Amino acid sequence: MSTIREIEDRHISILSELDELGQFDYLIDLGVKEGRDSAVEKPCFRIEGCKTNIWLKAEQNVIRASSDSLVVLGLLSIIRQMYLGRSRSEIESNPIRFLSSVSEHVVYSEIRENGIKKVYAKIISEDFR
Amino acid sequence: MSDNLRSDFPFFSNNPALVYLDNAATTQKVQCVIDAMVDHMTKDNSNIGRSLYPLSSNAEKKVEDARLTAARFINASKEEIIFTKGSTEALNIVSSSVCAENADKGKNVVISVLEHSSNYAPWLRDCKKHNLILRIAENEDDLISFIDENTAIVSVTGMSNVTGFMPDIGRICGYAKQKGALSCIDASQLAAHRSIDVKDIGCDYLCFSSHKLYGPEGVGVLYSKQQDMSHLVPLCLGGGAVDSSYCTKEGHPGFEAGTQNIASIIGFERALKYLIRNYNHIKDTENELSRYLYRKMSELKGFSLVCSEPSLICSFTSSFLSSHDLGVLLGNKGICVRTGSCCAHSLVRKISEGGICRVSLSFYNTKDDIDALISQLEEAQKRYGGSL
Repeated sequence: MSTIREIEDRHISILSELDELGQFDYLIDLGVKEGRDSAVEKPCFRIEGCKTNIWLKAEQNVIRASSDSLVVLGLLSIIRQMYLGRSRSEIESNPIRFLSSVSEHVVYSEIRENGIKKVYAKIISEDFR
Repeated sequence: MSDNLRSDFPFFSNNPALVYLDNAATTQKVQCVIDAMVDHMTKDNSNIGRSLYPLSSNAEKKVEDARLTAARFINASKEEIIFTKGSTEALNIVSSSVCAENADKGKNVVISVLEHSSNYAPWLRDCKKHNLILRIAENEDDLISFIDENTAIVSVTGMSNVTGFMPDIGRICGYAKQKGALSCIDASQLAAHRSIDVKDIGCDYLCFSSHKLYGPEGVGVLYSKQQDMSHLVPLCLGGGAVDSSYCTKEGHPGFEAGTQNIASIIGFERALKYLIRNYNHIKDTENELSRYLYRKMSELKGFSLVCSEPSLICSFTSSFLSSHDLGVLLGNKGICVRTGSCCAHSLVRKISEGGICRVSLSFYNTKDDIDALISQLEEAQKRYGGSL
């Protein structure tokens, strides 16, 4: 099984090679493959404060997420690949780095600050093994 | 479209590849506005109202000239013009004042679901604070039916910033008057596209912002019918707004505390004069562009229009990409549109949970701009439309 860092580095390597439209397509493709998880699209799982809908259920080593944005679903796909099945200490030791390889014209500060940062905070606040 | 008017805006020669279709958010600045502001700051800068030297009195004269121009722009008198930071501040003044005056009297306030947050949030806060009932109408007929003898004020937009819909504000204000209620018009969008006559409309208050009228940010107008200014209470006090006994001055000076945004007021005046000078041409051009946009958008597959007729503000949703993703895609193709709720949360939630994509036109746009948008939307449909 690859480490969190190895998985993230693979994505960083790909994203770093792409221009902005390439990154957009890459995240859209990941988002399409990930697909929406309508079961978590409930108010109680919504990440508050983000203009784009993001829902996250993270408990007992399960991470389920959804969004109406395919770009955001792509980001959530990478996060799930990185953290699913990992211990809390592993997740805490490996905060999200790949966003620095994505153009701020593809993932805007709104999504970074009010979306993905809160997703990570919620994941590490849950009672993981 | 008149290339000559477009060439009055240096933004376009500096950004020849960009297609700017977000004019409901803010407009580009006309060269004469920029020149007037630079001229003031480089040659005539001084504070107003506190000094006796010619430089200061000249600046003061320019501000008062701007007040007169703003008054003429809406057929008011200059004593009825309060300079504010913009429509948001203006609506907050009206809301906080009218609600405080009618506190705990069983009164109500009527607004519509079309309202921008600036004409929604203050009423929500102030009605709660002062114990008034807030009635939010879904449509114009509902709105009329909500107005009764206990209505303190009706506050509505003159043009929706999401749909471009223009309620019959003359009818609404007339009905409010019949029932003894005040009326307030948020003309933030309307003022850029239609000539306004406050006497014809019959409103008590009306506001608009400079930056949506080709002028600078940070300044706007609150019109108050002279006899209704006594209902208003300034949001802040300070230099210029109080006399030597610290009593609030009467009329517009009482609402303009602190050093005013003089350069922006001067720039604003130039923008208003530019609009007045070109109004007929602007209206014709914008009507033609809105018809063209509506026809082209209606022919697209995979997109649903929010409006049902040509409008300068054309919002839509996509069946295959969220408004966020579409906005990012178009942005990276050099096309500037607005996405999300456009600060009209209640309305947009009813249209689409994921928000909308908004195209808003100005007279300086061209059919080529619209063609570029349509081409990118067609390409997006081909590329992503089949993937879901």
